[in-house]
Parts: sequence; structure tokens; C-alpha cells
Amino acid sequence: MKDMATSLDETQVPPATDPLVAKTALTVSGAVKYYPNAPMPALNDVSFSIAENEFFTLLGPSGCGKTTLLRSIAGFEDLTSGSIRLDGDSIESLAPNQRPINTVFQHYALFPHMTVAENVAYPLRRLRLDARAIERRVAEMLALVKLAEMADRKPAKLSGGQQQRIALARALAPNPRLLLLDEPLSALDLKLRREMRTELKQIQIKTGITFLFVTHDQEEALAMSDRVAVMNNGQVEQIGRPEAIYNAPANEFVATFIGETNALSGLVEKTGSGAAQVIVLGGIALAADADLAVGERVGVSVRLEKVDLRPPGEGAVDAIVEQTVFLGTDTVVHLKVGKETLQARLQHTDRARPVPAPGDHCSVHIDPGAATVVARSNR
Amino acid sequence: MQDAAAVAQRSYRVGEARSRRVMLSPALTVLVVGLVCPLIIVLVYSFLEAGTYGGVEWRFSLEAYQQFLFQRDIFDDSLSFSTAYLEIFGRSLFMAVLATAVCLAIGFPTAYFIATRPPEQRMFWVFLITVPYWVNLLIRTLALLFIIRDQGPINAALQGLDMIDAPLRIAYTDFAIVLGLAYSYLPFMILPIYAALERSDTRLVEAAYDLYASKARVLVDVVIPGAKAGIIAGAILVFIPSIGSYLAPDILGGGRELLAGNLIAQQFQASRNWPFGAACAVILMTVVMLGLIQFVRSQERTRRGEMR
Ligand SMILES: Nc1ncnc2c1ncn2[C@@H]1O[C@H](COP(=O)(O)OP(=O)(O)OP(=O)(O)O)[C@@H](O)[C@H]1O
Ligand SMILES: [Mg+2]
Repeated sequence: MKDMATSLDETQVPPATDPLVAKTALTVSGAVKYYPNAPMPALNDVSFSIAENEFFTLLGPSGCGKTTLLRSIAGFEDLTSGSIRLDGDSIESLAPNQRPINTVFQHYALFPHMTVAENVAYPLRRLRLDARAIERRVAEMLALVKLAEMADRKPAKLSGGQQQRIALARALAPNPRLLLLDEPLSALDLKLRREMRTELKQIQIKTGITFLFVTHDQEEALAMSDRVAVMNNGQVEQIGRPEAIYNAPANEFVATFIGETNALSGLVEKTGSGAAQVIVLGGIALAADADLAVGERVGVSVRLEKVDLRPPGEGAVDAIVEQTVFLGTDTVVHLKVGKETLQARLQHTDRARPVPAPGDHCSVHIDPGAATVVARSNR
Repeated sequence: MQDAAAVAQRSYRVGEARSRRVMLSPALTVLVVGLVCPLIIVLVYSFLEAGTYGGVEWRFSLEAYQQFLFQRDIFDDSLSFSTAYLEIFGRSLFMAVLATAVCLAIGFPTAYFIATRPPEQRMFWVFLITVPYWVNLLIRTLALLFIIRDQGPINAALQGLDMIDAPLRIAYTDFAIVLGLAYSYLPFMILPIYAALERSDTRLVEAAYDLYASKARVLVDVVIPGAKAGIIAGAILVFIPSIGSYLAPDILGGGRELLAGNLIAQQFQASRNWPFGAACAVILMTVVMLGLIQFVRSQERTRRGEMR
């Protein structure tokens, strides 16, 4: 804690270049958490590590254990088993006020009887910085969140978005080794949430502080993160860069939780060396790089935008348009292919190609490389 | 259409006002009969002449108020300024402040203890707090006297342990009065503070703890400010009955030195000077009320400051 105080001014660190080369900031290994009297664990063997300067996001549905994990890292909960290391040192025996980790809470948790400036100065006072350094740091932080003119107000007189920024400034002020953010944007309206998303990312780059961000909003996770860990039922389902999570989901849960997808059932037709061909919708051949056996039934995920609609006869299988849903920049088309249903997302960029109407006949083409095998029925 | 809506709304409002009056009437009756009427009687009596055998003579007089500040010489009937009654009031004020402080010192930790128990246990602790108060105040005060008197268990224990030679003088002292006052009104301090603590935002506690505050700092910076409303309510609820209290000073103080409550009681009993007793009550009430109004005003000013 003492050396944190001295390193306050060295915040202009460049962002991480390569997470593999960069130094590891936080390592969680084998984290298990049972709440008293709860039959199921809130965390069930969670392991991951975060590189220095990384923007790392925990993404998962409500109740999957995100807050529990964050509170364990902050020191408010004890793990049933497993370990948490910060810069290589175990921090489990440290109280929250001894960990160089700060939290931005979902409901801001600003001290109502203190002014904005006093709120931001609070952690610095507790770290016993001298008055001049505190004043300088508070001004710097308020400038960072663009609220310098609010310094003397009480939090109750600020809007939700402004309060959230002050909470951010307060948590960043002591220059923590790791910043935890528990759904910090979820109480804001959509427009503000989008703005704050960009700003949060910029602040993370500017300060060079490692962020561990929690959300159940996949768009938020994909937009801001260097890497995302998708959680479900107290377990990590997949960790990867946003593109990898989106384009190559590791399993059906990740595929359906992130973005919209067609979950299709396919039959493995022929296998080569490490590559297989899977037939879906009774006639579309897709490539799969998994090691599959001929005749095996598998679950395949195909993103809506990967489904291509062509005039009748030109695609691999014929389809009938059941319904179209206009969504502004694109339209989602619900199709019937034989007995199965399929959805396609058409971008409104190609003005020459009209959007089909319900009842229209068309045919479907899917690029062989567009699919991901997400489920194996049996081996 | 519009007219119909307006009529409907008006008749709704009339109906609402009527039903509100009906619903409020029991409370209003109690307030008028139990509070306003006695206050008016006291106020009127304080401006009358004393009857020879108690009661009042229905003649207007400022004699009672004069008596509070001036002493009448028995021989030449001249008035001289006297602080005797002011001193009694001052002592009462001092005792009430001490009793409030003692209640706060004991009540806050107790309330904090209850508020930090698991939710399902809290009602049990609140219940325990109220148990002694099922017994009548007079009995409780007498019981306290038996505990602290020279032959009581405290002195017996201390002497048994050879820690003291002669019994410690606790009963019939100012200390005993403060102790008795604090004991009488302790729940009025504990319960509002408990309510405030229970409602207070535990997330703020966590935030402060996360931001490098020690546990003691969390208490001072977050918990106490969060319970401020409860502390104020508790202090008022203890202070007001303490300053006019009659039983504790009479029994535990041995009635050796008068406090405001005993002074007033004496005027209606032994001294048979009802107007003077009424005047003392009116003065005490006015002082307390002005003090309270001043206090509430200053509180509101700081609250408004907080919103700025
Ligand atoms: N104090 C507690 N006692 C018992 N069970 C708890 C406690 N806190 C959380 N749980 C349980 O642990 C599981 C994980 O909860 P957690 O709050 O970590 O989820 P989350 O991912 O943060 O959800 P959300 O997105 O709704 O905030 C849930 O099933 C929840 O019911
Ligand atoms: Mg949560």
C-alpha cells in the first residue's frame, strides 16, 4: 500500500501489447465458493489469469457467480478453496483495506455526506498522502472523468452517469493494481451506457490500470474487452478475445449466449485428416475441424449473418420465408427449410437486392467455413 | 366530457377529504383531550393566584412567574433577584445532558450489535431489550436503588473481595440520578439508532473498507453519519423525559437536592402552590421547546447544505 502511494504519478503506462508476453497481474486458480446452506456452489472451480494493463471481462447470465468472484478478489468473501494471487503473491489473508484493489460498485456507493472532491480524496486520505498530493490527484482524477466543475457538489445533486464517473474517479485515485467493476453501467440508460463504454475504455488505456469488468451484456463485453471469460453456473465456459468468442464459441452455451445464432443439428458425412464434413438442413455441407466419426450427430452453430439467401435453385436447399423483422440497419428473415427453421440477417447495404416478403420462395447458401460444432451427442 | 371529469374529480376530492377527516378523528380526539386541554389548563393556572389549601383563586396574577426569579422578603415585602430556581433548572439540564450522553455511550454499541446480527436474530435481541421495561418504572427504579445502596449487592461484592473497606456511596448521589435516568430511558436511545443502522446502506461500509479505511474509520466516516437521524431522535427522546423526570431524582437522589420535576411535583403536593408549579412547568416546556426548534432549524440548514 505504501509503494502505491509513491507511484501515483506514474500512471501513463502504455496499454498491453500482447497478453502472452505481458506480466500477469491476477491469477485465480481452482476457485470454489459455497455459501452457507446453499446446495450448489456459487463458484465451481474457476481459473483464469489477467495480464497487466488488460481489460478483462467476466460475462455471464444473472446468478452465474460473477459478483461472488469479484467480491472474493476484493476480499469481501472467502473462497471455500482455491487461490487468488496478485503479482504472484497470495492475497487471501489480506483484508479488503489491505489489498491494492479497488471496486466500482453498481450502485455507485458514493458517501452522501461528502462532496465530490471529498469522495475522490477519501482513499488518498486513508493512505495518508500529504495534503498537496491529494489535492493534485483529486484535480487530476476529476479532469479525467470530465467533472472538474462538480468538485464541491454533494453526490445527491449529480445525475446517475455523473455519479458513476465520480465512483470511477474515486476508485482510480489511489492507482490500484487492479480495478474491479461490477456491472457499473447497468443502472444507466442505453444512450449513456454506450457513451460510457467508449469513455471507460479510453480511461483504461490512458491510466494503464488493469480492469476486471463484470457484465451480463454481451455487447458491452465484446465492445470493450481485450479478453472475455464467459461464465455459466459458477464455471468458466470459455476465455478468449471477443472475436474468438463470437466466431468460434467453444460450446452451445457460449454460442447461444453471445450474439444470435442458428442452433442446427448435423450429420457427419465424411472425415478426412482432422477435418470433417457435416450436413445440415438436409443438404448443406459445412466444414468442421473437430475430430468426428462418420454417422455421428452433432450440434452446429451458424450465425444469422452467415446465412446467405439466393434466388430459388441457386442455393443448396430451398426455403420459404415465414416472417421478416425489420431492425433498422438490418432485417431478420425467418425461414422454413423442410421441417426445420432457420434465421438469416440481411444487411441493408445491397440496395439492388430486395428484402424478401413472407411467402416468398428462395434458396439458402451457407459458406462451408461459417459453422462451429458446439455439441457432440455421444461418442 | 371535460366537465364530467372535473365534477368527478371534485367529488372524489370532497369524498377523500371527508374520509380523511373521519379517519383522523380518533387521533385528533386523543390529541385534544390528552394534550391540548391539559396544556391549556396548566397555562391558565400559571396566571392565577394560589389558593390557601391548594387549588387556585380565579384572579389574574403574575405572582408565579415573579416568584421564579425574585424572592419576596417576608418582613418588608420587597423583591430581590434570586437564582435558586434557575439553579434547579440548570442542574436538571445538566443531569439530562449527562443521562443522554450515558444513553448514547451504551445505546449506540448495543444498537450496532443488534443491527449486525443475522436478520432472523435481530427481533430476538430487540425483544430482550424491551423485557425489563415490562416492569413498572417505579418498581425498576426501586430495584436499582436496592442494587446500588450501601447494603446492596454491588457494595457487598466489593467488600467481600476486600477491594473497599467502607461501602461505596452510590445511592443518593448525582451519579445515581444520572444512572437512574439513563436506565429509565435507554430503549428510547437504542431503538431509533437500531432502526437507522438497520436501514443504513451497508454498501457504503464496504466501499469505505475497500478504499483503505480501517474498521474504526469506517465507523466514524460512514456508520455514524448514516445513523445520524437515529442518534438525534434517540437523544431527543431521552433528553426530554429526563429533564422533567420525577421518579429517579426522588428515589435515587433521595430528594436531597431538587430537580425541575421534583420542584414542580412539590408545588402541587407539599407546598400547595399550584400556580407556581404550573408556571415552572410552562417555563421548562418553553425552554425545551425553543431549544428543540433551534436545533431542528440548524439540522435542516445542514441538510439543505448537503443537497447543494
Ligand atoms: N450471500 C449469499 N448467500 C447465499 N447465496 C448467495 C449469496 N450471494 C449470492 N448467492 C448465490 O450465489 C449464486 C451467484 O450469485 P452472484 O451474485 O455471484 O451472481 P451474479 O453472476 O453476480 O448475478 P447478477 O448478474 O444477477 O448480479 C446465485 O445463485 C446466488 O443465489
Ligand atoms: Mg452480480
